Amino acid sequence: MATHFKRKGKRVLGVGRQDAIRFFFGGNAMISTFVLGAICIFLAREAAMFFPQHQRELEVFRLTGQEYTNFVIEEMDEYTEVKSLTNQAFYQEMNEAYGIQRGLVDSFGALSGNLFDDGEDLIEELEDARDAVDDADEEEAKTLAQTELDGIQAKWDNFLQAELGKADRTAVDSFGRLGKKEWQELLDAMTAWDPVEDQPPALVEAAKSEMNKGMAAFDAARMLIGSAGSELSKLRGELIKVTTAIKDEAVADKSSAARKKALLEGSVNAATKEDRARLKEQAEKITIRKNFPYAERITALEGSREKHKAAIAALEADLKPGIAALPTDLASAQAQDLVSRIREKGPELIAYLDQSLQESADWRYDQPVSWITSVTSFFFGKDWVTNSSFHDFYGLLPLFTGSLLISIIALIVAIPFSLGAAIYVNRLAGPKQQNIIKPIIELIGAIPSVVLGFFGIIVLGEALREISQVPWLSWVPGFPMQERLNILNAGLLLALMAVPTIFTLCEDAINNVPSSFTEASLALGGSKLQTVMRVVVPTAVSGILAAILLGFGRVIGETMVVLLVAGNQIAIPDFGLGVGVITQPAHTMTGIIAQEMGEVTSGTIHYRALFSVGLVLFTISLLINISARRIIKRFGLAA
Amino acid sequence: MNPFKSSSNAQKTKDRIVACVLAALTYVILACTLFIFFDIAKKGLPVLMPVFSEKGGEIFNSDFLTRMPETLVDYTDENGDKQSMASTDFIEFTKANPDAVIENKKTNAYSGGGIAGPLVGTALLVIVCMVVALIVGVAAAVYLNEYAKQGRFVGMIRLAIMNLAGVPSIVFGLFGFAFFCLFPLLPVFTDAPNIEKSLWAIPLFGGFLSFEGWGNSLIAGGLTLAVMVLPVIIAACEESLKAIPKGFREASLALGATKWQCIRTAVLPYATPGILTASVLGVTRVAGETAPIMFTAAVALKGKLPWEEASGNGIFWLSDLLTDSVQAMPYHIYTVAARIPRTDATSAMQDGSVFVFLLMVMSFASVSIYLRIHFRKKLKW
Repeated sequence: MATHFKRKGKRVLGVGRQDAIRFFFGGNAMISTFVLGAICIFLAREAAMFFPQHQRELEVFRLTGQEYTNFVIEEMDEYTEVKSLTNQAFYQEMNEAYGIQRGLVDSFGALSGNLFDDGEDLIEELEDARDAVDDADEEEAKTLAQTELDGIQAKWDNFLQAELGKADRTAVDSFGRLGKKEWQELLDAMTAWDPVEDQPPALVEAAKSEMNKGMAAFDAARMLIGSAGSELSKLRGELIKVTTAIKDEAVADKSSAARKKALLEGSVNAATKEDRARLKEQAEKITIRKNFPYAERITALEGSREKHKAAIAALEADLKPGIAALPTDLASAQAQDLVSRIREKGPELIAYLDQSLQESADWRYDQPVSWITSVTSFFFGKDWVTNSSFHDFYGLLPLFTGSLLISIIALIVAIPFSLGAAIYVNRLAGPKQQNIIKPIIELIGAIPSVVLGFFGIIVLGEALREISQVPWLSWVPGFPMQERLNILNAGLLLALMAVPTIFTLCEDAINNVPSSFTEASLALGGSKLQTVMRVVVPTAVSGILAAILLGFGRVIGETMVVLLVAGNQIAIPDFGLGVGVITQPAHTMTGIIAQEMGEVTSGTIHYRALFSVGLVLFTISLLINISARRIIKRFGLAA
Repeated sequence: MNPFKSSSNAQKTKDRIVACVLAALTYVILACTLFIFFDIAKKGLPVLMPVFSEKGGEIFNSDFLTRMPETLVDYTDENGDKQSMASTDFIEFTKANPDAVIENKKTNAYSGGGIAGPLVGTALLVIVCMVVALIVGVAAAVYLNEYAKQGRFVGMIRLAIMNLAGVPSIVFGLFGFAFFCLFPLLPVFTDAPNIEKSLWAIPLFGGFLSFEGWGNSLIAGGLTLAVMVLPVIIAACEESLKAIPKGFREASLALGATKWQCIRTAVLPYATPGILTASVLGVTRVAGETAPIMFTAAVALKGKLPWEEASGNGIFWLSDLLTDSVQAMPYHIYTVAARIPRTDATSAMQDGSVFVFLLMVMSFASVSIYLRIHFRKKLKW
């Protein structure tokens, strides 16, 4: 009866039907391996082509002298920051110490402006009538003009009275600087205001002079700091113009061969004789050079080094006394903070300027750019600037910092909640609660990220800003927030997205702790809580760690929430604010790909730069996955 | 000392406090979630069912679900009231009332009409994705669970699946763009091959089979999503296969069935509930994703529904449908939320789309959770 166990079916090339089915299933299983490999290949290919291309771009950047210009641009940026801090401090102080005075001056300006607008015709009439009185030679004419003037004057007085009666304090004094009493005083003073002479009332004059006198020292220092960089700014403008012209010429030169070829082809194919001649003439005008004469062009920068040195010297000469002259005892705490920050920043700025000047003095246009520079300027570059008329920078650092900061905030918020919930659900809650809580937390994972982003824009952003403007919370660093869309907002939303991942894995880890452990602890007289905290959680710690790692992977790879909510400002957040850094906007690695990928042409350096960012993300996610697996394998009890 | 003495009072209070803190942490999460749901429903429901809005109105605004998105026009009429309508309505209105007072006229892109295009587009993307992902996913799970022996090969596959699950969705988008949209070995049926892109065009059935990549298209987006959801499907299917008792297979094999007969008759039928759960879970995952389809499939505005727009017959029609771009709900929401300033006129489209989309995804998610719990309880061998 051996025939019953005989293999059935035909075999083609030694492969039977059963084998074919087996290969079909196996092939499908292979697809995920294939996809992972293909992702690696496609990302790595573009990234591998990015770095040589980047190196060539950097070479042109150096040869055209744009790199030298960039020294000046960066010096100017650093200085401008100090300058704008000074201005901020000045206006803060002015509002705090001379709020009423400023309110009087501004309100007077607003009130008189309104009066000029609404009573335009009346004021003109009044002016004409007065002129008529002055111009009248004869006694009779004068009296006549005078009566008319009196009539108009009465009309004006009535108008003024009515307008002042109507004046809305919240609209005029929109910052609410004036109290009820000051407002009334201003209105009283305004009754005597004459629109033709347009002299502010004595009250306003006094306020103005008091304010100016009080702020005089600060203002002088501010002016000194503000004007310190004028020479450097001029040099910056000149250099940008000169070097951009060199670059444009060099870029045009590179494409000259292709253009000449196209024109020649056109001249053969053109319809009319004139066109043919014209195109040919144009083609002949283009000379093809083998090498662009950078050495010749760079001479345009001659003398810049001396000018640069002089400009920096001038800047430092004004900046030092300017900062020293900043007043110390300020009424506004915020202004005081700002001034102390300026005082800290001043020497830093000067040291930076000296160093930058030194570096720029050593700079040479014909120094070769190594591939290492190409790599480091991608990974550690501080600027990501694209579609710029000056030069495009591809630096990962601002994006990486943004991604990292947002993820860290998300984790800091998510870990206590998800871990607490996991302990509660697994060890303390009854089955009824479990059956409600677990599905709801699972549902969070299904909320589309674009919906959460939308919620962040219209609800959470507004709510956070309103909270941050509450006066008694102003001690919190970073409050009140300047921007509605910022790191904190994105971090909070991502925390919610991370909760299901961390919760589920933590709950699994806690569930896997053998019951003998808990029983032993309880038998030794440990309370339920002691058992959970001192036996269960420490045993499950590897699983919890893996859960946190995978949660991190989830948030750093999230795109839509950060694209919609993080504020999309490509700059390294200002860590000078301490913890307050989280109220600043930022951009992220995922966000930049989503934002810029749609508008780049494939094969350009920008396209490849985005793929390189993608490769960095991919590598991070692989590392996280692998280490989470390792942790579970090495320390896990029951995987 | 009495070892059975109950714990001290201090310890008991401490226990209670910590338990309360843990409970509070849990319920804060739930409260946040429910708040988000209620807030979106509160704003979005009146758009879909105007009867709940402050102004009142019809019970169900079917236009919102059946019209294509278009530009919204808002203006102030002679009474100083604000009016807004979709641009086609506005053109008809001005034709019918040539002397209507229209002041402060403003146009807002994408904010008028309804969301029929994005709804249909998302449905098509999900169908393409799930067809591919289920075939590949179920087959892979069957291989891993039924055929494979532990070894290097299987270890590599499992490692790949696990790592694939952690790859950020935007990276899948990049991959899909570089591979499905641009890779010139992917063929399209077309009347006129794109000469610049086409690697090679074979004349076939009166048209061409052109190897030029799929471009920004339904199939590129669907496959990108399929690749992304594959690990989820494989994991869920494997779970259901593992739950089938060994005895079923052994009995079938002992009766002389071949391996394939055994799988077909004794394994797969009992795995259907699990596969169903996996597919609903997969739909939940892919329907909500924006990043992978942003530059592989989605466009902001289309005049017609995909099948109205596809031209040609038979295979050319199908090819045209599959290689044409589509609108999609998540991308539509991204467009109206990020690019259109929120005003009284535009907020209706934003709130309505978000509400419908959330309702859609959440119902799928609830079904998948329900199915899983249900089958786990019911199927015990």
